[in-house]
Amino acid sequence: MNLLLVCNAGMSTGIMKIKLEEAAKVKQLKLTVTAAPLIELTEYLTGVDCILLSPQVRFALDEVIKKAFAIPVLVISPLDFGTMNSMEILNKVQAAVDNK
Amino acid sequence: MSKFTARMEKNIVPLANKIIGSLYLQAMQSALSALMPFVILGIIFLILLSPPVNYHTLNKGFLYHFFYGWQTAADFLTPPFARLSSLAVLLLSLLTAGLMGFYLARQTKQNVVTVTILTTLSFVISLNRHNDLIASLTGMDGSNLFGSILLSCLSFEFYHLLVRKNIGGINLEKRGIPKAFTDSLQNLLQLGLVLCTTSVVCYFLLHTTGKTIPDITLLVISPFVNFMDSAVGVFLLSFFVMFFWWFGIHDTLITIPLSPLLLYTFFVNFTAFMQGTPATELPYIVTEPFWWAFLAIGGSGATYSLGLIALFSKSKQLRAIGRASFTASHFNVNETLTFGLPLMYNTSLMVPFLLVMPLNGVLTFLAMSSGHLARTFAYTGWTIFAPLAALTSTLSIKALLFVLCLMLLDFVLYFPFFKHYEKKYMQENERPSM
Repeated sequence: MNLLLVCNAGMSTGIMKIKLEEAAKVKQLKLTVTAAPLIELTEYLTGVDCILLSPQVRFALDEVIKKAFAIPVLVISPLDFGTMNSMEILNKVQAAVDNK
Repeated sequence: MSKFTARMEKNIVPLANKIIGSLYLQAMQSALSALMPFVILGIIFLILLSPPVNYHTLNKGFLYHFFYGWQTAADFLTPPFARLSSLAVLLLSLLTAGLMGFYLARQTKQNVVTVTILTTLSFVISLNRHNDLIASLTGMDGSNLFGSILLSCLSFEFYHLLVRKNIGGINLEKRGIPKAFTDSLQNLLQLGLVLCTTSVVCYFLLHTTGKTIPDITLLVISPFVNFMDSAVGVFLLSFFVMFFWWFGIHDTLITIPLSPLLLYTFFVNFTAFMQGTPATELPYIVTEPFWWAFLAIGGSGATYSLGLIALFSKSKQLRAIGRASFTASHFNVNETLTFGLPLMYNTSLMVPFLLVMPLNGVLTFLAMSSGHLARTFAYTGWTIFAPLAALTSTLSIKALLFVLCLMLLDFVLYFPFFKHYEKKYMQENERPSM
């Protein structure tokens, strides 16, 4: 599964990327996470299964949904992000991808 | 309060994010951060090659031998490495103009190479006073940073307009001429138009006002720089950063527009230091390294101490957040605390969250303006642990100790508020289960 993690600068999402990959290993899931700044979103869309917005860019949700066509878009809740609760986030991602 | 919050969430927050996401600010942020490693490398070489203390002035002892050794190594290494020192700093404006073009073109899907060259040349044209390119070279350093950003934006905007409206595009492909050949001609007229306009405007301004566009830009920005470089300015700017953060708006809303100003003051200090001005008498106090070493200790809000307090919280969840944030705090990354504790929308921690960082700023400003503390003239990036950054940016042990004192102060200020919040948090979230 290909995840696109979107934020505006990319420092804390770097940590989130590592946590998500760790969680995927535990779940024995094949997962690649790419972190991208919001403005370059369209360049990263090919082959992406789900887009995750970090809480800083939660207000761009509508705009991203428009650009993403059929790709499901999720906003990481501030609490999940703050606690780096990657298991929970991954569960939500799987649910969103399965419901597609 | 909740009404105000709702209004912010509905109107201001999306607007703020639009500003952060705007093409020019993003390009500027990307351009300046792409330059940073080179700037830092240049400064590291410079520091390595010029020991801050002359060993002749020291008494025999450890320090004498240390600086004697340093000087010997520097003498040996200077011939092959001297040309690296401060290289990127000396071409800061030129490189910025090019990189602005690069990122603007990339984000608007224009020809990256063409636009990079176009914005670079537009900036170089603007420096030209007497048709003397060599004389213009000195203007390519950090002193014309604002002009270089403005000119690359303007020349790109004009070019982009011509391309969008398809004015002056030469299309020969239909006439059976190979594409590889027409590519080089396609934008010739448009590029010519942009460069000619830049040249004519520059000439006109130079002859009516005696000033180049970068001169004029600097003149216009100066009041802002002077405002930023005051105790009130530091307080207000850092307060607004925190005010917006409280609503979960990233600090880049203010720190990106501020970054050329902070880089400029840093550059002026750096140049003055190289010319022999003592560190305590440098022209500016508020610079890029000032912000990251003395204000945002552990990230925006000066949350390093808060993270430490959370680490020893009575609440299991808050302790977990403290642990999650601990490592990143040393690199001034604190989103885990902002969103995790959370600090955002948290009324219990609002007072210290909004005020501790501005207070750090004002205290440091006063210590520096009264000459008790060396001012900043070197920059090693914003991700360096604050006490170390204070040392490397001033080369003074006193600055390191000063930051440690600030951290202690921040600890004392955050502590009672955190304890109050902890109690409330545990009552709400950790009721003993039946």
